[in-house]
Amino acid sequence: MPESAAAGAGLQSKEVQRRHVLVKAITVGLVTGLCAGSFRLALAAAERSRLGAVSEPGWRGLAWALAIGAGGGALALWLVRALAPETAGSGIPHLKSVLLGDEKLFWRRLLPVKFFSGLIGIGGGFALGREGPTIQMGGAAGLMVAGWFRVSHGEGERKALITAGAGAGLAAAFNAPLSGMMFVLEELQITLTPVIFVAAFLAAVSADIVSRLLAGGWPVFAIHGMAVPTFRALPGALVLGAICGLAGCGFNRSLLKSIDLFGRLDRWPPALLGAAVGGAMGLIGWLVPGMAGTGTGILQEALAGRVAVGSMLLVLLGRFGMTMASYGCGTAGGIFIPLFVLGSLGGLSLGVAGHALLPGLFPHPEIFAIIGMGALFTGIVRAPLTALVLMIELTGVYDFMLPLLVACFAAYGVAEALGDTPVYEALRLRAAARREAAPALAK
Amino acid sequence: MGGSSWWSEFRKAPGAALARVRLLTPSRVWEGAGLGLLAAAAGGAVILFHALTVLFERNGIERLASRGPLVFALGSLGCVVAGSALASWLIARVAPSAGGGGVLPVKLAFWRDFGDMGAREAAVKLVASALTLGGGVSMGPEGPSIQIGAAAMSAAAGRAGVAKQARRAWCAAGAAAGLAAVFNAPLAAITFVLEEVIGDLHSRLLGRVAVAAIVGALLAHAFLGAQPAFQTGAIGALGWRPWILIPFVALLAAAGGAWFQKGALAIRRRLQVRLRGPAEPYLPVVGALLSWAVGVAVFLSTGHTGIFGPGYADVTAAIAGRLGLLAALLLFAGKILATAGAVGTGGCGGIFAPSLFIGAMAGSAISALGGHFLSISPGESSMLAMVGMAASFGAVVRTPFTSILLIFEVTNQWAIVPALALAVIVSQVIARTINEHDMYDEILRQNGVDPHQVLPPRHFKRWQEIPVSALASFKPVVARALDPASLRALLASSSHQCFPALGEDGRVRGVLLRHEAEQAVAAGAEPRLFPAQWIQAKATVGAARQQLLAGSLDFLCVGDAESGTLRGILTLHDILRGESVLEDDAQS
Repeated sequence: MPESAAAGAGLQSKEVQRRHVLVKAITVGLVTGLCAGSFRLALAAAERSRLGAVSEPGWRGLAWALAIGAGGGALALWLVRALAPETAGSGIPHLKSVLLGDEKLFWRRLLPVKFFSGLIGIGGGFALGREGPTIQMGGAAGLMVAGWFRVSHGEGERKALITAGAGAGLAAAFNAPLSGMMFVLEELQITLTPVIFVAAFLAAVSADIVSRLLAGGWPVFAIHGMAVPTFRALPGALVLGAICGLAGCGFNRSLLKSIDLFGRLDRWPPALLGAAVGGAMGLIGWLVPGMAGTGTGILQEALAGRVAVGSMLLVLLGRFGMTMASYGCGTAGGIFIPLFVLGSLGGLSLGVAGHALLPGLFPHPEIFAIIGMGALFTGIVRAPLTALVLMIELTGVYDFMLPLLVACFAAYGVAEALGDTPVYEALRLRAAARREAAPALAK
Repeated sequence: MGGSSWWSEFRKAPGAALARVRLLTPSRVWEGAGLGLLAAAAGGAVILFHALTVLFERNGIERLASRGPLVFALGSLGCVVAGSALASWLIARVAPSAGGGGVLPVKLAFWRDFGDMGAREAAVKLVASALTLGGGVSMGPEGPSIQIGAAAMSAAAGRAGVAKQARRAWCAAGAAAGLAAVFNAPLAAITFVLEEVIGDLHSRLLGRVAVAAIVGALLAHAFLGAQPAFQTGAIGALGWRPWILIPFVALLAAAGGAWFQKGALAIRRRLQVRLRGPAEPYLPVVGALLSWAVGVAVFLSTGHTGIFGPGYADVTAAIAGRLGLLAALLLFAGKILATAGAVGTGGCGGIFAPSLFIGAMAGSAISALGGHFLSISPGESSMLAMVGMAASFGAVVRTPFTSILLIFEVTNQWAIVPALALAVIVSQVIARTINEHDMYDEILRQNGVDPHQVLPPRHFKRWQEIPVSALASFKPVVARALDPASLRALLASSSHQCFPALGEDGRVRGVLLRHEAEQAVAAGAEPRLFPAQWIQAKATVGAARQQLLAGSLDFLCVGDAESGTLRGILTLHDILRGESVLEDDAQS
C-alpha cells in the first residue's frame, strides 16, 4: 500500500537516529502508564459502584440504572461532540491518520476529554472497552512529551514518540508489553527502523511496569484450572477460526452501518442522543446485571464455562447490539474488550454445541472461548500476530498456542479472501472520505 | 436515502460477499494443500536431522563421558575430528553452498536468487550438520534447521512446478517450518523469518509463513513431544531482589555474546587472508580441534560436557540451578572460545544454541554470585538464567522481538516476560557498543559484499545489476535431432516456443522456433534454424535486456558463445516474471 510508505516517511531521517530518544521514550512510557493505570482503576471503581447501585432492590435499582445510564451517556457524548470530536470511538483510526499526516493531534484537549468521556461513558454502561482510549491517550502523551523535550523540529521524532505512546497504551491497558509492540508494528504499519523499535519497546515496558504497580500485575483473564487443549482441539479451532473470519467481516460491516445510521440523527442534540442510548444500556444492565459496561464479568463467566447454555446466544446477540449502538453513537471507547466478549461467547457456544454432538473432538467447551477471542480479533482487526501475542499475555498461558495459531490464521485467510477491509483501516478511510467531502467541518 | 435502501443493501450483502469468495477455488485449495504437504516435508527433514544428531550424540560424547578421563579425551578427539572432517569432505565434494551457518544462505537465497535453493543443499546440510554437531563441535542445530527447511521446501516446490523466480514464499515458509520444528516454537519462528530473513513484519508472505510454522510445530509435537524445549518447574512469585541482578546478567550475557561474535569474526578475517588453496574446505577441522581442546579442559575441571555440541543438557542444568559459580564461569568462557573457533573456521552449524548457552551460563554465574548477598529463590535463579539467554541471543542475532518470544516459547514461563524485555534492551545497547553490525551483516561484509547491495533489490537500478544466472533456467528443453519424428516428439512433450538446437557434439547449432518445427513436420523437411544469441551467465540483467531488444528473438542462450557450450537459457518470460516479483516486493 502506498500509505504505509507514507506512514514511515521521516522516520529514517538522521534526527531520529539520536540516542536521546531513549529518555524520551521512557518518559512517554511512564506518562502513558500513569494515564492508563489511573484510567483502569477509575473505570473499575465506576463499574463497581454502578453495579452496586443497580442491584438495589425494586424501583430504586431501575431508577439508578436509568439515571446513571442516561446521565453518563449524555455527558460523555456531549463532552466528545462539544470539546474534541476526534476522541469519538476507539481513536486508533485517528492515530493512524495523524501518523499519515492527514489529521492533527491536539493533546491538550484530547487527553482530558478522552479520559473523562471514556470513564463516564463506559462507567455509565456503554458496551465498550478501555484499550481504545488508553491507546489514543498514549499517542497524545507521546506528543506531549515531545513538547516537553522541545522536539520542535523533526516530524520523524514526534511520530516515533506518538507511535511509542500508542504501543505503550495497549501494553498498559492489558499488562501486555509484547502485544503493545507487536500492535505498533503490525497495525500502525510503521516502517521497522531500530529507533522506532527501541522507542516502542522502552515505552511499552516502562508503561507496563507503571500500570502493573498501579493496577496489579496478574494476567487480565484468570483461567486457573482450565484444561490444556490437545491435538484433538485443532479441527474445532479450524472451524471456529473460519466462522470468526466470517463473523469479523459481518462485525466490520455492521459497525460502519451503525455509524451511518446514527449519522442520520445528527440533528439531535448530543446530550439527548447520549441519554437515549445510555438509558437503553442502563435498562438492559438492570434487566440482566453485568450486560452493560465493558462486560469483563461475562467474559470471566464464559472463560469459566459458567454461562447457561440457553442464554448464551441471547447474551451474544444482546452484547453485539449494545456494542454496535455504543460505538455507532460516537462516544469514546474501544472495541477490543467488547469483541473479546463476543468471541468468547461465540467460541463457548461452538464448544458446547460441539461437545454435545462430537464429544471426542470438543472435550472441553471452555477452551474454545479463548480461541474464539483470538480468532474474532484477527477477523476484525486483521493483525494475527498481535492476536496471538495478546492472547498469551492476557491469559499468561502458552498452552493455547497451536489451536490459536490455527484459528487465527483460518480467520485471517477467510476474512482476506472475502476482500473485507480491516476495521481500523475502514474507519480511517471513512473519516478521510468525510473530511474530503466537507473540508470545513474538519477544522 | 430512504429507509428501504440500506435494508435492501443489507439483504444483498451476504450474496455479494459470497460472490467474492475465492477461498475454495481449485487453485487455492491446491496451493493450500501443497503448502501444507511441502511444509510437512521440510519439517520432516528437520525432524530427521534432529534424530540423526541425537543418535550420533548418544553413541559418541555421551557414552564416552561415563568412561575414564583418558578414554574420554581420546574418544572425543576421534568423534570431533571424524565428524568435522567427514562433514567438510561432503560439503566440498557435493554442495559447497551447504557450508557455514544456515541463516545467511537462506537470507541470500531469498533476496538474491528469488528463494531458489536446491535439494542437494538440503540433503548435504542435513548430514553434514548432524555429523558436526553429533560429533561434538560446539555449534547449534537451529541455523542448519532453517536452511534444511528452506532448501527442502524450495526444491520441492521447484519439483512441483513452481517457477524459479517465484520461490521466495516457499523458501521463507520452509525456514519457518524448520525453526518451528526444531524448537517447538512456532510464534518465534514466524517472527524470526519476518524480522531477520524478510526484514518486514507486515510482509504479504505472512500467511504462508504462518501455515508452514504451524505444520512444523505440529510435527515437533508429534515426534518430539508437546513439552517446551527447556523444562523448568513453575517460577512462582518474583520478588524485587532478582530485578537488581537482571542488568548485571544482561550485561555479562550480552558482552559474552558480543565477544563470541567479535572472536569468531576476527578468526574468520585472519584465515580469509592467509589460507587459500586446496586445504580451505577442511578449515573447520581446525576449529573442531580447538573446540575439542576447550571441551576436554572444561570437562576435566568441571565434569560437564556442555562445550561439546549444542550443550542443551547443561543449559537445562543452569536453569534448574544445578551449576556452581565456578562451573558456570568456566562453561561461559569455554563456550565463547570454542564456538568462536568453530564458527570462525566456517564449521557447519548454527549460532543460536551457543548464544543461548553463553547467556544461560552468565545468568547462572550471576545468580550464584548474587546468592551470597541476596536471598534468591530457586525460581528467581532460573529466571536469571533465562534472562541471560534472551540477552545473549539478542546481542548476537539482534532481533529483540524474536529473542523475547523465543525464550518465552522454549520455557513457557509468562512471569518472566517483563524481565526478558528489560534484559533485551540492555543487551541491545551493549551489543551496539561492542560490535557495529550484527553477525550476519558482518559476515557478508567480510565476504566483500555490501549487505545493502544484496539484500532487498527493491530498486530498478539494482535489479538491473542482478546476474543473469539468478533468472536463467539451467535445465532447458533442447532439440537434439531435427528429423520429423523427434521433432514431433519434442512438440508433443513441450509447450515452449523456442528450443536451442544442439548438434551431434552437444554444441548449439541455432535456435528452433515452434512454428518452424511445425511447418517442418508438416512438410517432412529439415526446419530452418535461427542464429543463437549468447549471453554470459555472469552478465547483468540490464545487459540481457539490451541484447533482447537488439535481437529478433525473445530468447538468449546462456553460456560460452565461442565454444558453443550451452549452460542454460534466458527468455523474455524469465525477466518479466522476475520483474513482477520485484513489483510484489515493492508493494508489500
